[in-house]
Amino acid sequence: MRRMVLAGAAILAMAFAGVATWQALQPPPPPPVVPLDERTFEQMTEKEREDWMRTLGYVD
Amino acid sequence: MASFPFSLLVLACLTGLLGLRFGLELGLPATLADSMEAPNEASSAMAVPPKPGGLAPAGAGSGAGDAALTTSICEAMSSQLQDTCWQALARQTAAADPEEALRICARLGSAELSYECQADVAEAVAPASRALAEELCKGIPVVKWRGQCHFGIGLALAETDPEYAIARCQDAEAFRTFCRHDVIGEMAMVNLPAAVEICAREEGDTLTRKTCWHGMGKYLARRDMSEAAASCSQATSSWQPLCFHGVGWGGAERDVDQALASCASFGEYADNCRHGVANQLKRFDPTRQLAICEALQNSEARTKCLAFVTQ
Repeated sequence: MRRMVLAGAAILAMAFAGVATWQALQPPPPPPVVPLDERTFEQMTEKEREDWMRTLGYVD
Repeated sequence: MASFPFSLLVLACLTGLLGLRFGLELGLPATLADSMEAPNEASSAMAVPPKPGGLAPAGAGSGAGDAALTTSICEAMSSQLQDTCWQALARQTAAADPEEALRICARLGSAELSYECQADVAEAVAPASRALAEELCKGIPVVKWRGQCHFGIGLALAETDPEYAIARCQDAEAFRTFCRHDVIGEMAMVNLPAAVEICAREEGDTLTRKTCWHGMGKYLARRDMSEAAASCSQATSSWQPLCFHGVGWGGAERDVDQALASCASFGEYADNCRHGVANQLKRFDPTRQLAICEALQNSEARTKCLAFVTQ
């Protein structure tokens, strides 16, 4: 009986550790995308600004 | 006692697996996780400057702003139209009574609309009281509308005080370069030497300097492409092609065929001008945009033009 309890505990422990390991291997959720117009000037890369400006006819 | 080795085995398994789990977590940030975050940083949502053309004069244009509005008129409107009415009434009231205009802004149904309304009030009061206008902008807690607010003040003063107007763009946040482009454009329409003098200082990063000349060409071309082309000759030589791109864009806003005919007379900058026409067509006539791009002889302009077709 005691062996069965221990075996059950071992299986549960392995399952728990397996799930935890799988979670750790997952990529972190992407950070929320902040629309360009809700950023400060410094929070934009030059490429982001240039693409945005080109779309709206502010640069070639 | 006989079960002791088995218990030891269970304990060893548990320790090993937990060690693996936390070990991986500690090791990940420097390797896998970092490489996965990079693309997300680059992605972004595209947005449009809310009012690049600036605030329409009170009473101008169509819609609720046409007639002289009153509080009772707005209150009598259906809920869908009421916010539009309050905004128009705030703009109408702002120059004469800023405090009342702000009280009207406070009646708007959402914080976002209220900030937009405050930015409109600041733009309207700026010619009479710059200090109050700037104070109103500083009081807006959302970066988007705070930036738009300073952008609006810049536009409001572009024709009368070029130095002050262009300085406002520094606080326009995401719209800083858009602001410089439009303020220079408005300025060039009434005071070309001032616009040329400011752009010739070559302030800021490459994009900031480029957009300055582009704005001059585009705004003047909306009035007269020949005049705009003449102004481009005053641009720093390396930015003249860019200025002609602005001329093409501005001319195409009025009449695409006429713009292309004018571009043909611009000699070595004809293709830069056509490139501007093509870019302007992207939203309205992508087929024609592509045809213009493919016909360009200037290889740099052609490459950029075609790249924008698929951007």
